[in-house]
Amino acid sequence: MATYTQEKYSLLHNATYEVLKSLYAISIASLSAADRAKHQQQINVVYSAYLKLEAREYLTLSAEASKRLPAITTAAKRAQESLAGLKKDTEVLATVDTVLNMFISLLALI
Amino acid sequence: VKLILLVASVSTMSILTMGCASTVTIDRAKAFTESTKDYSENMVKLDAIVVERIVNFTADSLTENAGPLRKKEDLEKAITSIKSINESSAKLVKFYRAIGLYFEELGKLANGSQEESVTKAADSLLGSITKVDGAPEITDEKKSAISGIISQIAIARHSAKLEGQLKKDALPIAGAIALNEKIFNKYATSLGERNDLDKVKLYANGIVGPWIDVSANPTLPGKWKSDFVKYVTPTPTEKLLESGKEANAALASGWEGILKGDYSLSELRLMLKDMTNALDSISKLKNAN
Repeated sequence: MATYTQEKYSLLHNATYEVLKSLYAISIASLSAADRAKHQQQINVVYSAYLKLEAREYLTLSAEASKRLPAITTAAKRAQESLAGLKKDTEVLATVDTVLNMFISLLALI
Repeated sequence: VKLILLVASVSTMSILTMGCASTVTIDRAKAFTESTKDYSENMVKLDAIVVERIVNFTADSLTENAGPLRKKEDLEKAITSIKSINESSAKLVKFYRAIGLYFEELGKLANGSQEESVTKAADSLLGSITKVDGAPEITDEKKSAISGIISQIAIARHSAKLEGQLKKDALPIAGAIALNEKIFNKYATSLGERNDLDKVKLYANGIVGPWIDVSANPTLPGKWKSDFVKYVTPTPTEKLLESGKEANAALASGWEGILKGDYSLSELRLMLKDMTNALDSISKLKNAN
């Protein structure tokens, strides 16, 4: 199994930031009430993950985290790539929805 | 006789040249120790700004996204992360203080002090580095450059015994300089990314939204112009990151430059001054708010 490196951890941090940036780029006024609530929940989760990644040094990661983080990093990178081409706010919300549970499990892991 | 005179004159010239080289080295080393002290103070200020920015940004994010899905655990997670950032910050401030103290003592040594307290300061610096995560590897080039400058000061002012002692410090000092650069890059990421997030949000909600939504807003809101100006104007944070990066690179090459004699310390002083001005601008803005 490939080792989870500092570089990969930086990739995860960067992908999480890019997902967060896509959410910040949404014009709130254009969203329906339901989408607005969804947007709030997504920003809460993704910002918490971003903050935790910033606070947690790579060297202090547990063995369990190092084992599970490669798959999470791949999923976060894939989400970042999918978001890059999207223009509609609703598409951004739908894409982040597919990886929201992954960010929730990241929060519990690190 | 002519030959003896020639040999004597060449020897005198060599001694004079060596004497000048040592004086230049010591003068440059003194100036460099002063600059490094200023740099350490800047890093302490920058650390406080970064931590405050993270705390405020987090509080804003929690407030703006409070909505109907508010959960206690989200709040607790944010608080735990901030506590961890505060703990890292306390370690870093000790590290900057240790660098400042080391260069203060090295400055005294360059000024002719016979005390060996610089070695104690180096030990203290070594102790504080081990508490900071992720110290990078030191290249041989950097090691020999640092070893060289310390030796030159020691040879010019002190005994060979002290020179040996000071050479021992080469590694932690090289580590401190490299680690400083790495930490600055982390600060730059923390501040730069939050700055970008604020701008992205401002663009979406304050500028482009009202601009294209003509049916809902036939006239632009009064705040639109000030938001536009804010969006297109570089922030003090952007200026700080730029000047800080330059000062960092100048500091890292300063050691080697002193030895080679081709480095202008006035440039380093200027870059540090830019960095200090940007830090002061941010503090003033904060006080005004």
